Amino acid sequence: MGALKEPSRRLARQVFREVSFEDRFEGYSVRQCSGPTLVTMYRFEEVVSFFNHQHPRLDFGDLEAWVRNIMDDTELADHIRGALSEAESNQSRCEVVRGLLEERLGQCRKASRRKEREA
Amino acid sequence: MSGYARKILRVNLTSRNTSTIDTKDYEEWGGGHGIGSALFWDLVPDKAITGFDPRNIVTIMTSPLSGTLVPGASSRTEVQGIGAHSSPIEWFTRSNFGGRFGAMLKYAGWDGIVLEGRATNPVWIDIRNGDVEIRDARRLWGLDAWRTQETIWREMSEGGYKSWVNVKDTDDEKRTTQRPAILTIGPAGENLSRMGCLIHDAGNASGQGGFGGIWGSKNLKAISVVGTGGVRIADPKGLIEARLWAKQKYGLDIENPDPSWWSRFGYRRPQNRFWDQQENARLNACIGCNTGCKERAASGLGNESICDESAFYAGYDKAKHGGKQTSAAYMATDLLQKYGINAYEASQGLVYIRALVRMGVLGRGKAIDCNLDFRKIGEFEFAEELLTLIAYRRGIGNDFAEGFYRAAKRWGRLETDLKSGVLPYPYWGLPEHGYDPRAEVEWGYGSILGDRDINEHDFNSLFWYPSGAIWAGRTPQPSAEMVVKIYAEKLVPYENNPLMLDFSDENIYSEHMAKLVVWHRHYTRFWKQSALFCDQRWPDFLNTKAPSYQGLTGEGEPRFYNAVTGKGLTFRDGMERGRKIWNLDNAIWSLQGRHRDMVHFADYIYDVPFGGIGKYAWYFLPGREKGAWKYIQVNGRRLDRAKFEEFKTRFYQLEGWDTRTGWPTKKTLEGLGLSAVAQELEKQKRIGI
Repeated sequence: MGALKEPSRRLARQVFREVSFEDRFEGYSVRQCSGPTLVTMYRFEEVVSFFNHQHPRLDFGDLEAWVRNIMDDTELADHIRGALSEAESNQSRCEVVRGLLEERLGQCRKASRRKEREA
Repeated sequence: MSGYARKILRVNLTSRNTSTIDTKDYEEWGGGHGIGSALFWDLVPDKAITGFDPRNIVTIMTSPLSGTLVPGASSRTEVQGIGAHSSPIEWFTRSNFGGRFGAMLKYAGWDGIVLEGRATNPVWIDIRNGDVEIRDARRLWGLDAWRTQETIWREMSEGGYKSWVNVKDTDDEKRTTQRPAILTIGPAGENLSRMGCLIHDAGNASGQGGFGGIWGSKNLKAISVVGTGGVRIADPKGLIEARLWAKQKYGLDIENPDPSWWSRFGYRRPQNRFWDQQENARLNACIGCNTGCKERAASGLGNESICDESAFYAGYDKAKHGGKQTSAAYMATDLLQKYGINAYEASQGLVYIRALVRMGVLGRGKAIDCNLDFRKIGEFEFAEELLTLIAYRRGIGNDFAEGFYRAAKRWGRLETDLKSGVLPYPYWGLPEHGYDPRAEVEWGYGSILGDRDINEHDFNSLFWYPSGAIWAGRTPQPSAEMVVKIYAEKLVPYENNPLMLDFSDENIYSEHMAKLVVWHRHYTRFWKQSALFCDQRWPDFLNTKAPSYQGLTGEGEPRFYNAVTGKGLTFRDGMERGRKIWNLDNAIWSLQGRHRDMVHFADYIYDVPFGGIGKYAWYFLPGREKGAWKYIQVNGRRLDRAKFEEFKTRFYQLEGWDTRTGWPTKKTLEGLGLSAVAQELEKQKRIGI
């Protein structure tokens, strides 16, 4: 699908906000001692960080919907959908989705810094 | 009495007297939990008192294996008494911790300690071999758990680590290079927090039960022990041979290491850390252990912390710092220990109050007024502020310090938040473990039929075998059929019944599943909590190094136990001892007011599907589908109230308890040699029929 386009200022702002309890995203982090622990996320950065857990577990369809509807990032959601259809296992889905999320977060950080400088 | 030090230290904090109890009088209970329960039974006439009542006692028990070369069994110490944490009743409960305290206690010549009464002023107990002194702790009161240990070490070595430690205070010639092992409380315990822990060295905590608060109520700050003796072994050659046998047949294969942790005995170091490994760190083990599941880092932060204390802040830290683990996570965990706060309660509590913030009910000027600035979550400053509120009961911290279940009750939210699962406290007002009662049912059943989150990882491999493989798109190995066959062969006295391991919806309320829970209760009560085999290593059902994947459980436990004690105990004998101890515990709970009607989970376990319906395609367990064994998906499951009631009846029948009340019956107790217990229950009108 090609690279993600530079996000608008509105989108960059959106990414750094904290959502309400109803709009949270949930996944599980799995470790030996604790078992599968529910991780509740209220910010896009937390979702990106979640993918750095050793054993993240989530529903990718939910994630796509969350990015589309709550983060209001249609382009990223479309990219996620495309990547999911190509990956063969959940583990490989994790890897490609992580890359996309990190790319978007990096773009938004840049945009945010640019805005600060301009201000 | 090989393996035993032969005496138990009895400390009356009220009268400031010490005396000894002959271990022989309690030897039939094995050690650890068994002896602790028996001591509690004998020394606490009124079992219905609360945790903070000075008549409550705390037992700190070792096992015959403590301080020996038995792998994964030499370092645990069992703590018991009426706790302060559970609700609606503060159950007689247990906790245990590793490190070197238990071994040092044995080397000093003691099998355990009984703490009674309440001191009028803060005290600490100074044990140097057979010399015991109750000392003034007013200068220690207010210090954190680490500073307390440092202060005692410094005093005992006359001004610093340069000097050796005086073995005898009055004899300058008697010295040792060993550093005393200290068990202490931090400010949370001093301030009677129900989340208060006992802390030993770093990374060792008796977390559950609120024993930190119990010690605080007794004005007991610390126990220091240094010992220069040893442990008598019945068959030293047999012990070495057993250790070599275990290593060669079941231990880590250096040439071909198992990359997973399928083999509990032989696998690589456990994947316990939740934070990223620090640079320049090395392994560290509890005394006598072959594993080294902890680590020490050159940074000087987060030392020896593994497991859930490392989970407390790792995720928040990363999310705040662009996916990078910073010192915030390590420092927050260190602070948990310095303050002596239960990491599990703090972790789940933070998730809970953050949810309340996002719901708009907790925060500055909100219905639940709280000045914490949640925008700073992930920074160390936030963790410090939160933990300080709890430890010192400042402001809303006074509610938090009671535990978040009681806090929710104060705020009028308990019923609502248990119904929705926003407050994930499924059993006895205690936080949920990840092995959810709706999925891996034996964990939840064991917890609600007992006194606490069992925190016993014996069957979790059944989840790990398939779940990681399926997530990665591989076929799980070994197969479900093979796994249940291997496990079932070891479930003595219910051996060779694979249906005990069928986690399908149709089977989780069955007599087969009840047998699994009974087996688990009896196994852990003796082998893990009395003989004190460590939960990280035992049991070893399936071992990828061993022929036919048969792990050493069943053979290993008694072989080691007998080499040390010379008792000739069989695995089956140990299971029967576990049954006896479990029955004594249930007799105590019955006298505390337990009735089967109160044995139920929080509402969300019945009303909210686990993980959402089919949302998280990864929780697989062995089960039968149309008669064939496979790994089945258990996501989306809820427990059925009526069927769980039927399950309880089956469980009580197997235990020989009254199915109407859940109380032990006279016949069962007498059959176990517990006639005196039966008589007391009869007197108190708490005997089952």
